[in-house]
Amino acid sequence: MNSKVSILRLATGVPGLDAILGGGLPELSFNLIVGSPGSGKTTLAHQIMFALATPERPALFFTVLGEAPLKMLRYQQQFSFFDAAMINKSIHFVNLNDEVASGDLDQVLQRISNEVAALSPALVFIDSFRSVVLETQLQIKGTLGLQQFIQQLGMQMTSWQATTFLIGEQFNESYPHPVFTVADGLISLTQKIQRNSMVRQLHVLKMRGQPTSPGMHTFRITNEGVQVFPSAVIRNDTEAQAESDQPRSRERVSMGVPGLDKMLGGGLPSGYSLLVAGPSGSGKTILATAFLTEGVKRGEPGIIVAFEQTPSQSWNRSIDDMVRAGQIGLINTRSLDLSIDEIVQHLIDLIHKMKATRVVIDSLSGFELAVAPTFREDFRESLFRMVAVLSSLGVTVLMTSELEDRYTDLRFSPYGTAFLTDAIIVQRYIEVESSLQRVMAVVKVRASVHSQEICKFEIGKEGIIIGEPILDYEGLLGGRPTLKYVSKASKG
Amino acid sequence: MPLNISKITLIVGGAPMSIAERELMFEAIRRAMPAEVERNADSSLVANFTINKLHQISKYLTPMIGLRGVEVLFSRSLDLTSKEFAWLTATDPRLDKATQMAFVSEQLQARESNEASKASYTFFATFTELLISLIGISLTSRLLEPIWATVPPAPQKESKS
Repeated sequence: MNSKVSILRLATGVPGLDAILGGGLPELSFNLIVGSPGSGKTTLAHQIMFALATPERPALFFTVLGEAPLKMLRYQQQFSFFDAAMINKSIHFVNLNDEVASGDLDQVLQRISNEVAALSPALVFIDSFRSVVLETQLQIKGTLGLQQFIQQLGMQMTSWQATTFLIGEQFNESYPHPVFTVADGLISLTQKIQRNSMVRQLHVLKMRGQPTSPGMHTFRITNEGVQVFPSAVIRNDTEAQAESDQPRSRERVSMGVPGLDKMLGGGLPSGYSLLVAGPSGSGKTILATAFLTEGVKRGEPGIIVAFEQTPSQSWNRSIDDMVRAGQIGLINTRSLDLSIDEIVQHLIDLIHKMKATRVVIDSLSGFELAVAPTFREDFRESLFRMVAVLSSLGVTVLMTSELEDRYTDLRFSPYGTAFLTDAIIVQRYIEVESSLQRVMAVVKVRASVHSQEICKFEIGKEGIIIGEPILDYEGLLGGRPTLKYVSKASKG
Repeated sequence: MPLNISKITLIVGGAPMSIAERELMFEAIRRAMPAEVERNADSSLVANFTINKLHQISKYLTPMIGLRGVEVLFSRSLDLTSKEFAWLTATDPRLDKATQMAFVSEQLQARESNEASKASYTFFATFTELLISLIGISLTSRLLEPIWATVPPAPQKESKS
């Protein structure tokens, strides 16, 4: 028999938050939610409260100065989680203005005690803690001090068997406030504004006894309330493999372009990530479309994350048709305040929902533009994490990358991402007899034999048609190939 | 003369709401008025009824929105009601609750019972509509349910046990 205490973890009802907290909120914990004005503290607290409160395990929400209670009720009920039927049944609001305004913390604690004793709530919220601190700067001499107040409150809440939340503003790590020591959990919310984009981030600084997810996690507030997008975590192979829906196999997936599978050594190994790099108009998206179409033909659902052209554009009707038919999923955004984690979360949800095995990201260039400026510095690292997470799910990923043709060097991606992927196909333009022609080569297929040839290809009504390898020219990658025999003749 | 609520004009603006829901709420207020009022009884009865209801509203709302929150709602409702009943115009809109109640009681007792009844009803209906404009009909209905017992319950969304 296990003699250790078992701590129940409460599901917060906030999508993504439980994963960051390490499985939910510890029951009877004393927590702080801190952040600047407008960062979403009250919304987060309300969402947790409406998710957890029941008539048998009610919640008490103390309001203290700051936001007028009527305004709070007015605006919070715009969120879908707000259920008026729960008010005065599962959820009870209590205003502490008069007690706090007196500056006597004895009175504040007494009122809280009385209300808690009368209702026996399972959840207690005090909004806002900062208001208590400010008001008690005018504290009456000889009454309860702030530190004692917080310590007593923390002790009482635990003994009253209530999970407690203090909501406050402006957390300063260098300021050794007693409440930060007393608290079992500390969740900080921030807003970062750069250029014309605003990004919300959440950070769990402390959660006793919980394997929390470190670092900053982006979140969004919509009509549904707060949704957190946990940072993608790279798992070790054993762990990832154990949880993968589609474990890596040695099977090969067909690209849907005649001749390309042969160039790849028999198709792309299942679960691989492929980078298709090439200049504008070279046919990257058409290749990606063929990849998804082939999957649909074989009963393998796919997803496209589109950042540039919309699928309704006429050249890409096949994608549009497949999306409308529910054969492939679409994540289409031109928002400029995304985080990669947000996209990854949507992608993971859709992969599970559709049981997708093929994913296209078109393109990395558009993706970088859609990401909020504050994340662009870390774009490469975030891509690395995204590829690793998708790989752990066992899906085969095709990413396109816009690459300006340079004939002085051989590059595959402007982000230095070539090493992140398992396979690379490069497309280029060459000039032959005063006309532009397209060529394609398989540069890399990890742990697999593949073609080393550079093949001409054309784009017709049926899609990409790969031609014969170009054997009689050299200097193709320089953009201006010359016939081999001409070259030899001139040397002779 | 019986109280005719359909002829009473409510002055508060705010979010559009279902006419049927609104009428049901006002009907509940009207039903709560003492029967004697409609038989032209003493206007002090109206005053007592009004003050009693004001105390009840204050009792239920003060813990949630604070005493000052209740006072400003009373004050605003009184101000709006005085557009139709000028004799309810308070000399100072920042009156505290006790002074507001004493003023309302005094003014109601000084009127004919029918007019006092109309003013009392208009005040409560205005107060209700003011609250609806701020926090919606569903929550208003939930909060005022104990005061006007026949107020229809808010749509039941709660399903947890």
